[in-house]
Amino acid sequence: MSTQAAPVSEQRVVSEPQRVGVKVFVEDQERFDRRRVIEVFHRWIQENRLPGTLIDVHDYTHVPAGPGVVLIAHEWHLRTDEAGGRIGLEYELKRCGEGTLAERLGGAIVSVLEAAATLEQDTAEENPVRFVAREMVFRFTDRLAVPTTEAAFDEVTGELGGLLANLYGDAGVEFERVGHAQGPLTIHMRVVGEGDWSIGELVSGARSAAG
Amino acid sequence: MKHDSRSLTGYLDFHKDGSEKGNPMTTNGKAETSEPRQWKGRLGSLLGDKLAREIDAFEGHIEQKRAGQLTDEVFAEMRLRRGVYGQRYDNGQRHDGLNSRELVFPNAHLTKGPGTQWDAPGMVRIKNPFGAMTADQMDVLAEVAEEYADAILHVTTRQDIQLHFVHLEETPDLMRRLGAVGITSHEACGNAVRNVTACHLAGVCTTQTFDVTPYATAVSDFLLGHPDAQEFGRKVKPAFSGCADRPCGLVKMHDIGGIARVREVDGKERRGFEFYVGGGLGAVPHQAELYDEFLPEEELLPTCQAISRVFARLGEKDVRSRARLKFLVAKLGIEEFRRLVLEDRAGLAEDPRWTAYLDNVHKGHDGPLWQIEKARDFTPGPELKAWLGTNVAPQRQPGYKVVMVFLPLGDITSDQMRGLADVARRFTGDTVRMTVEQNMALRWVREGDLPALHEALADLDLADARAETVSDITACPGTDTCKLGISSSRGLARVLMDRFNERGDELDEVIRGLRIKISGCFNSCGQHHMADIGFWGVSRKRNGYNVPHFQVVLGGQWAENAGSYGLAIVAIPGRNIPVATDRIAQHYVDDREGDESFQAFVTRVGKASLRTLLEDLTEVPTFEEDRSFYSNWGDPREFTLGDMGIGECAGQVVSPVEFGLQASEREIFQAQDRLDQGDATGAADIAYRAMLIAARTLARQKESDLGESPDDVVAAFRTHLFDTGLFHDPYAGGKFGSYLFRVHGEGTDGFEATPERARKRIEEAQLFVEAAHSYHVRTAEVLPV
Repeated sequence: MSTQAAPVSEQRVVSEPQRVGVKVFVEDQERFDRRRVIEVFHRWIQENRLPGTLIDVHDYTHVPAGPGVVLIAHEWHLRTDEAGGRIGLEYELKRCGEGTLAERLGGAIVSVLEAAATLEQDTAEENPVRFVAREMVFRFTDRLAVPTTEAAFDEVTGELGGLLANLYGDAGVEFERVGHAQGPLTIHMRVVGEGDWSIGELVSGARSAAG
Repeated sequence: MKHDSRSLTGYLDFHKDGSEKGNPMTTNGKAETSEPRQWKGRLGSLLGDKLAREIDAFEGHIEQKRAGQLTDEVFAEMRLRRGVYGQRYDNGQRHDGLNSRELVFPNAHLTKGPGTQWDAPGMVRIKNPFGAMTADQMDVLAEVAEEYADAILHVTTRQDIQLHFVHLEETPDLMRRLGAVGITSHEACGNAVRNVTACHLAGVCTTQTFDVTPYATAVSDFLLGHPDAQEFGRKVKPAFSGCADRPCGLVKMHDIGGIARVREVDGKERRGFEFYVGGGLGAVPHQAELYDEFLPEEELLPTCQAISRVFARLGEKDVRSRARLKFLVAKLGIEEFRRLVLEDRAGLAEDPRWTAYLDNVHKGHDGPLWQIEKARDFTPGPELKAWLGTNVAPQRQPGYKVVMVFLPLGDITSDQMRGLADVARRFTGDTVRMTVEQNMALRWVREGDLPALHEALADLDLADARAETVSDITACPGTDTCKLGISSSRGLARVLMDRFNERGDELDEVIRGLRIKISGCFNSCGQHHMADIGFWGVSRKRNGYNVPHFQVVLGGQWAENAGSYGLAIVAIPGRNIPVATDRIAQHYVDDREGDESFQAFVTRVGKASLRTLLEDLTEVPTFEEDRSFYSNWGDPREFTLGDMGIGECAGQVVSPVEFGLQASEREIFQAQDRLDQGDATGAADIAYRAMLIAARTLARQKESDLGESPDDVVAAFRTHLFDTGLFHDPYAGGKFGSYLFRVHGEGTDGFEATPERARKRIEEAQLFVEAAHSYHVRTAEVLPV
């Protein structure tokens, strides 16, 4: 299934989710060093590099297609997610979310992009980690607020379309519902038009969109 | 088709309206604006009045605690009984590798237990009697794991599921969603009857006497929330096994357990159990005592009830470390314990539930869940062939197979769990069981379906061909999430698994069959006592730094329901454990005689020879030479015990202390060696001497002219270290120090040394010396980096 962003219907099925995840993919999957990320995440805790109450680093690298290395904060989890066989960086808001659906989505997009930019920066000197700027995956792990339905897909992509225009301008984006029918609503986004963006540039756009 | 013998309620009827939703306990496909936006409103009718009330009450207790109307102690026991457990760093402190720092949570003024921060993430343990799950239950488990936890379901060695990083205030909804599909976390923790475990092959096993599943179900249902099982000083763990020889049930390491037996009475075959009580691992493992050679099936529930009542009445309540049933059985002796239980049983009012379930048991049969269609022959390729060799076992029913799904360290993702639920629906007739080796068993798989099943599992990354091999390592959570973890059991397990896995076909067949089990501390959650090669985490002071070590435990017996326990032979730095493992394994390959088992090999070559083999690996390079020795596997932070809540106060590095403690360790080893030679009395004496050496070593720091008289040493130890609380373990309190006083008392009053008593004394001496090491680590100065 593949569709452009649909307009928000009059009868809303989606409310403000407590939990929402956004993932960006690692460019060079083969050279990604998970051991190194464990050290980086520990250092981020030492240096308070990300906002929130940073608690611990958890190693799930033994689980195939699993969460990889997870930085646990009170408010969110950040993981080198390997779901679907593609390594990426996924930020998942777990609690303390505020505002409308669009505000929460916007906040999560800013958070994942900032974390990705920081990881790019911290690994720049040797075997740099770079992220794909033209794709994202959105996952709504709050079935009460965002059911896994077509109606919810339409509603959420309507919101996302507006938000992502601030990042990609007129390039246009395409949404595809992915994952198991029983799973959380999961949406793969890709930019369809021309353009070239760095993660750093996207951070700026996302920040201005999030206000 | 019938469901697995687990009783299911009407909630499955809600799964029949198709569309895209599948499981209706989710909001998928059902969300309308008119529906409640809360799980309580949405699922209320599916829970049943009793469970709904219980969860509402727990939610009320959370509010009461928040409002300051409950004490920490009372609320902690309340949440534990609902399966809501603490987790590492929940005291709000964590060492980040440079400094111990405070974790600043939003509700910093609130606690959910003694020294436990309200907002600190915790663990939820979910009970699955005998590890059984339906596909619908697996779907919901996957959902709650990804919504409330970290999208990982951890299968435990007692067939539970644990979710980590869960917030307290989300637990009532988590319970409601599980309750809607017949799963509970009630009494999964706390001083209660824990999950009833059983062989995962029950009903399909080729060697079983009969299927113990309905009996395990009956005990689980009967004792859950039973008024006679609410006043324990500690937990009670039950287990059942269908036969005596295989290890799947591990009956002899449990508080209560039954092995299936039949006996001819009046010309009729009758069912019953070889029934055991008082087993347990923990710091000092106890083999269970035989309570009854044949406990008739109709006596199973009343006997469990009477045991509960006797334990509640006479079991230790104040001293937690002596409160398990094993201590009561040891204190009373099995004859007196049996007499008290029988006396209590005779006075019990008849309860129809004791036997009501037996009608269904006898009407039931081990019939197939699926009809076998025409047999389909297949020619396996290399991957399928390897998987068939390691992960597939025959069933007693011709044409069907049991397939083991290997879960690395017992972990499975939510996505995999959902996929596995689909696989269970398609290939098994909806019956999955978790195993005590942290895997999952798919039963009733038609032989002809094996290639398609393998392919389906491979799509989920669940077709790894190493179930129940040397690279299928059991490990407790250790320092990853457990507050008591000393060394990283999972970090070490990951390294060992990778090393064995990399060798693939080059790995000697003899090594491939060994079992490795790892605990992060002395508490045995990784079941290290029963492994061929076991490890448990300890700390040692070396070169002025704390260095993570593991005690190497050899000679345990996994078979015969955990028939015997191994003993520690030497502590090795964690970094050297992979090399130590290779040496031990290669020694076995090179020098075993015929088909000699590993346990027999260890006994024959002797622990002294094995210790010599590893002696050079006890050395630790300086911090400057190799910093990796000063960190746990998988954790770049410099090793500290600070995360256990032990402060590292100023003191002085005193080499004589290290020498003294190492001397006491050598004595313990000598005691084990003497026990192996059959000299229980000599072994007990040497173990006592080891304790005295350690006690004197520490006491001399306070009283430099202390002599060697045992009375003087014990008195000085008591005055300077025990009564002052300095020696006390932050979690176990005075438990380990009190071992010295008891053993000293036994020594002067005359100690009748049986092999079992000598073994216990050695274990206690080992723990005393470990506590001495911990004391030394706590009080010695750490040199600057």
